Amino acid sequence: MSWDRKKGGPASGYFYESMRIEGKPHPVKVYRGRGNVGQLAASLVDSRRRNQQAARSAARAEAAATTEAEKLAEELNDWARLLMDAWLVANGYRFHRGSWRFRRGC
Amino acid sequence: MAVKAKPKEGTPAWERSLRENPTFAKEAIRSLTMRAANGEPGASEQLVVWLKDFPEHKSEVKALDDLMAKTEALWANAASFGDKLAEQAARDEAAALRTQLLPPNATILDQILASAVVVAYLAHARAALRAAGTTDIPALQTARERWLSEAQKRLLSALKNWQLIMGKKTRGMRTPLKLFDAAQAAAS
Repeated sequence: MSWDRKKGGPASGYFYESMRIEGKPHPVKVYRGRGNVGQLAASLVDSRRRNQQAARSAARAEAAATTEAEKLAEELNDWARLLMDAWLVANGYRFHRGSWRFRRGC
Repeated sequence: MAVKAKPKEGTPAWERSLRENPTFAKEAIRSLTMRAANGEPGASEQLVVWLKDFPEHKSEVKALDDLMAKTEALWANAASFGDKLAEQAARDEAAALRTQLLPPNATILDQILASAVVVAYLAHARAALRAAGTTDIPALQTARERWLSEAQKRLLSALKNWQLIMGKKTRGMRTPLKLFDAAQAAAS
């Protein structure tokens, strides 16, 4: 977001918000107003950004509480998957079209 | 205390020491499973030989036991949000669930699959409690609902794996493997 001053325009400038628009590969500057309307738009954008930052940091803090547990759970699942696959392959099963089937002739 | 010397690289003693390394054993089993699944000649037999050498993998099984216990304890603590009484309740619930999932004479595979279900169950309980809680930040609520959805998927996947093996076991095994033999598992 920005306040842009232009030649011959008001001293406070014009308020533009930077946002992404579907179909455009880059952020686009959208005119939101000048004077009091611009101030109101700027405060709305600012409060929205502060809320987003608060949500992000709260989510990060919640996720951080289980980082170690998540890591261990991932390792446990990896071992479970590995031993399960080894058991199935050693017992003559093969993975075919999304399911384990008994290999004929084993 | 005398420190055991590292065996020289390339010697038979060095090869034996590699087999005692859980990471090496894991990667060897993974590689052999993939090769056998791709139909490589001899890979299936090598995999069977690897799995038959179960008594040599004592350290690996011990590491797996430790991993299961530590992960379950951490998740019981996480699901109780630091409340000691709730943590004890979560541990009791996990133990009851584990008993229900384990067949008589459970092997290491049965144990690890049951443990994966227990861990996924505790993670789901935590995510469900979080999602049910109130917050004045809508984006945080959205994130909590996403985590709950992920936890549900993981629980479903763990249950499917457990169910798959239990179902296949009822059809019998082609070769009796020590790694998956309950008597051997109990003896180690």
